[in-house]
Amino acid sequence: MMKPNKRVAITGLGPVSAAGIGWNSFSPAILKNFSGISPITVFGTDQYRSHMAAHIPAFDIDEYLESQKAYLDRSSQLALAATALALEDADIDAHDLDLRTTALSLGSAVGSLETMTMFFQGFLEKGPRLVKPFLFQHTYSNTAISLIAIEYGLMCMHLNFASGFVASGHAITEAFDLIRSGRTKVAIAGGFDALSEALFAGLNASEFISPDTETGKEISAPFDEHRNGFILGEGACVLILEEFDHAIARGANIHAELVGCGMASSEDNRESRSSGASAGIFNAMNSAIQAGNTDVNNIDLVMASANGSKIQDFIEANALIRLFGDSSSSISVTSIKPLIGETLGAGSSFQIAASIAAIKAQSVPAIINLRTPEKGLQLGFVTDTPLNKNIRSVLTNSIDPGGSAVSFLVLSSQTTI
Amino acid sequence: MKVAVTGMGIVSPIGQTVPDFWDALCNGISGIKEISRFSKDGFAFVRGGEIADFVPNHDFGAHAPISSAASFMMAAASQAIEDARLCEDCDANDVTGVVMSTNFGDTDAAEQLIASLAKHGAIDKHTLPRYLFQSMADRIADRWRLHGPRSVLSLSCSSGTAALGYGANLIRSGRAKVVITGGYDALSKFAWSGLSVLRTMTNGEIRPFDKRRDGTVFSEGAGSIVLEDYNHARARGSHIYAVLSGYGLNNNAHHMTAPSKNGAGSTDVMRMAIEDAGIAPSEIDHVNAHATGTKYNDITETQAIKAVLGKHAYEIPIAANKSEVGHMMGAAGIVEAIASVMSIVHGVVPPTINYGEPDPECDLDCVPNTKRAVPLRTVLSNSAGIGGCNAAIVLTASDTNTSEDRKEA
Repeated sequence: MMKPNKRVAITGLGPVSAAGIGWNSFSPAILKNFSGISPITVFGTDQYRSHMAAHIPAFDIDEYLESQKAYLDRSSQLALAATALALEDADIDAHDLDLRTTALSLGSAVGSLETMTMFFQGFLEKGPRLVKPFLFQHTYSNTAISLIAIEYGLMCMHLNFASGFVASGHAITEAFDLIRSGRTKVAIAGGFDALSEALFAGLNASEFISPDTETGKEISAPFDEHRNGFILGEGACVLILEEFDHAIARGANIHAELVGCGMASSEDNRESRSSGASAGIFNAMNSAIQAGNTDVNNIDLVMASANGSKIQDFIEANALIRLFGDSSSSISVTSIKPLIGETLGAGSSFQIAASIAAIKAQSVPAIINLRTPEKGLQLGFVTDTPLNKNIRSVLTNSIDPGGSAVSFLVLSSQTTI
Repeated sequence: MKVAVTGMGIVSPIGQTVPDFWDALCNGISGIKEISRFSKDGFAFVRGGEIADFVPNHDFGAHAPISSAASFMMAAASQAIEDARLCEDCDANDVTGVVMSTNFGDTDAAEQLIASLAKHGAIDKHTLPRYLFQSMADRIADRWRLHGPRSVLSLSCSSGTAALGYGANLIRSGRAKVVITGGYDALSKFAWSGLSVLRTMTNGEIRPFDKRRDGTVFSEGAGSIVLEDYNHARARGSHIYAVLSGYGLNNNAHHMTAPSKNGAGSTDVMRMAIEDAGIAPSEIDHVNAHATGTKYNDITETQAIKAVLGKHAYEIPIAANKSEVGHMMGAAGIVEAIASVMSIVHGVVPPTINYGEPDPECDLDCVPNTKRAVPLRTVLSNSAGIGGCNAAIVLTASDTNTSEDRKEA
């Protein structure tokens, strides 16, 4: 690149997860290995192979908004709450932002699928003339982001990614690029996805999620030899990314620095395990590390995408082994998916938040359900209990079963490279 | 980094290749008639732009699409990739990306999922993965073995234009040398039942800027544009149609469905795009308008164009491609960008058809009913959609020096 790149600070964190809402609840929960996974109570699951999810209990959107709304899809509620929390954490009044240098960039895998289901069930039952008109505007993929723009008067750069399990990864990467190039100073970036029966039923049929069977229990066990799929989680996590000097000038609390983002893909993420190390995640990690002007020896922790999937966990582990080479058996690797579930489009942003929690506490949450790693996957898995160690830099991954991969390099705000 | 347009493909109600589309557009051919894709029973509005006689004349093998929406997109992308002469397996350096965009995605899959759920019936294991919007980007990337970034944007009817802006930024940021962009949507019971209640449709003609206009008409199809790092395109001897020199994306931040009163969002997004292109508003030679044919869009957009361009707005032709093709939803932005590129290449502005009665509130030159030959270098193309989304891009002649050139000099 010919232009000097700006640095990107993370100055606000707004997690809304089953393991905790808000930074002061989320961070200690993750560090104590508290899991938000529990039996689903919001709809019946007798007809499904699986019965668990990381559902957010006792969530009231009215606590986060200035005025009551007549109707909001649950995904919009989660995204609005996460945005409010992130802005508050960053000590930013959104109404004061310079709109020409502000970006709003979010992502989700299925957006407002629950409202879409309600709307179309109305059509199926009563025909086109008796559908509920007000619901339709709440069925769009961009419903949540547009409601956020309206809530805060954000007539600014507006990007909504619908890119599956890497959606917030793409949203954050684009915010990063816009700041690095100088076009944006402050970005509200992250992702969201809500639990709904339509989503759960679709995933249940797809064989993505861990089933409760006579031969195996329903569990999120990344990298384990007995893993059999993921457990769905819901949530939203919004970050405030800020041009470094802008953050310094306003006296912001800098949680961490985002120094590199990598995006790549390959067709082998969903193919047979024989394909070994996927080029997609390997290239994404390399690209993130190169952007950070560093090398693998300076990485202290990997926050893995691994969610218990037979194929993607295997691919990620092999890509890590290839990347770290001789030091792969000693590189610390963890995954927070047994704690907050597979949160789909929100995953990348939650993992960046969890990476910051680990850096701040100098402690790595364990992969709680990992008992026996699959043979041949020799990495420094953190198991059983949290590991205290010096952590300055974290590499965090997200993989979509369709082939996309993103990787981020998060650095302690006290570190310079 | 300058971004070139090096390939284009289209599946529209008035043509299923770029030359056929362009001929029909210039000759004022309408693609609007009574729809037949699903039963019209109970629907208040029955006219739309369907893809008739669609022949998916490409062998996609294992990547063969199963829904209309995906079929249109694969066919358009296939044309664009061929047009750009991107060979099989030419992505050896993993630098070709895919950026798709849509309002509704694979609604067949969504409708199947929702109907099965309502009946407590069995759900096919492929249904939800197919519905995930990202599957469209995967389908294209897998078919042509592309290993760069693959993503999907969904910003209602501004999606296609947004995908071009985002795709350009992936190239500027060094994340890709080539990006296959696409926009697609199909007519479906879900979309039609929803769009019917928005009070934006007409059962008559779609008449942008005409005083008698009373609504828009929705259409289906897909468009695809190959964006490429200008130097990469030059180095491999590509034909460069035009340069994408600037983009803006924003939101009215006003209301989910009501237009903002003074068109502030629309004004601002055009200014964003013009500033990004590093040009003066007076350098815009032509506006390819969003022009949906609704009462409010056309007034608000006219006011916004005048706010951005001042008196210059009266001196340039304004195109309303939707008068011929209808409103192609997630595909609209890319289809209109293709028309804009063709206008630059051929020096012709296609007509706004169905035009008869001038509206004093829409008093710009919309090239009524007959195409016009006029030399053009720089076109501004606008899109907007539900939720208050706006997008605008600036396309310029292929030999233009852009602000990116000046930054690099």
